[in-house]
Amino acid sequence: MSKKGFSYKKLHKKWSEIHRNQQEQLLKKHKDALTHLSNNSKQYAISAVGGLMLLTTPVNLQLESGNSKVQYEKVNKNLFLVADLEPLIPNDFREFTDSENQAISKKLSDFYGMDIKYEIDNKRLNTTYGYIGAEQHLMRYPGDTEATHFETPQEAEEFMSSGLAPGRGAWGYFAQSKDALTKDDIEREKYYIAVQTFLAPDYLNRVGEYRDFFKYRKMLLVNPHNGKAMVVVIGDSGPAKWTNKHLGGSPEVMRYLERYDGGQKGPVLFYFINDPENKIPLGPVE
Amino acid sequence: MKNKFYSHLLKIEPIHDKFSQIDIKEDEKESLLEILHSHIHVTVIDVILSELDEGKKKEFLHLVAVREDHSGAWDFVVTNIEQGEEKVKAAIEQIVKEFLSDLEADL
Repeated sequence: MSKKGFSYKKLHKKWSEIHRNQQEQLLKKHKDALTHLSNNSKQYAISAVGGLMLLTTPVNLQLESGNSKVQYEKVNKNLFLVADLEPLIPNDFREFTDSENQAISKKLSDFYGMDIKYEIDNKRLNTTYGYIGAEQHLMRYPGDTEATHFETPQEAEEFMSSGLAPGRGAWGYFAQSKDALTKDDIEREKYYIAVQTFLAPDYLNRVGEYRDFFKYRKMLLVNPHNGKAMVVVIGDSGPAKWTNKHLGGSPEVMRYLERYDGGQKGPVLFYFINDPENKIPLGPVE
Repeated sequence: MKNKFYSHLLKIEPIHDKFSQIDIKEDEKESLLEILHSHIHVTVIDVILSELDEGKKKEFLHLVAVREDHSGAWDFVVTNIEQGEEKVKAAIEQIVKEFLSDLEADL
């Protein structure tokens, strides 16, 4: 008798979500006891996962079969951040006050061990919290095309459908030729966001100052609903105010943070990383 | 699957039976079972902690997560929670029922 086919991906996705929600509920409801255990157990300190690790069995959250990487440490650590951020983020969607920004940037600094700022040298963006939309890939050098853009066939398969923007980013090409393209240039394009630089306070009177400050400025981007975070650079300017979105993310950024455009759009936190010695690498924060 | 303090209540044979009837790869099956077991575990912990005061919660978590004393943890549940066994059993059965239902719906 032939066996019946079924949708593995659909079932996997649904139950991953159910499980993730249950983990979040557990943490919210019993945070004090779980934190106490985390803070007072030698085993927990050694494992450095800060909480639920010993309470949960590993969960593979990858959707594709055959690509199973156990991710429980990361997921559980992220849940602690989600729970910590929840009381700091207002229920009504709005820009944060300075005191809210201070509290959130401190929380992110403590959690990630980075110097997170909402303002540096009296320069700041119009907001640190906003809806993110999907951007296209950017041309890295004159002549960069969809055929040359990706490093591996797997990357091409995953991200080519997002397309290549017809124009250059706000700072021009990342490199002047394919030969001049460096690893840093490749990563800047891969992990870029577009922010509304033109809406920064007093922008029109400080265009030059702001342009130099924003160009490839390193930022921490956090999805407050799942705790996923990525170190990115400001690689472009936008989106327009009328879009009702506050920033845009490269295809790689959107994929990692699990944020989507259109009706499913969601907010992210975005703060400057004070990294004068350029020690913090771009990409997902593990 | 590692032994748990509630393993004696875990009845997931119907799910294995259903898997044997459908076209599913071994790694896919393992992945789904991994999620199911993990979800059951987190749910059971939640059910138990929801019945305890803060002091007892810490005591129970210490038994489960630090000492990994399965026998002691189960004794703790039946001693400290009214109808503890029934509550844990009902939670597990509900999850298995819903998972089976989703599995069948996807056929």
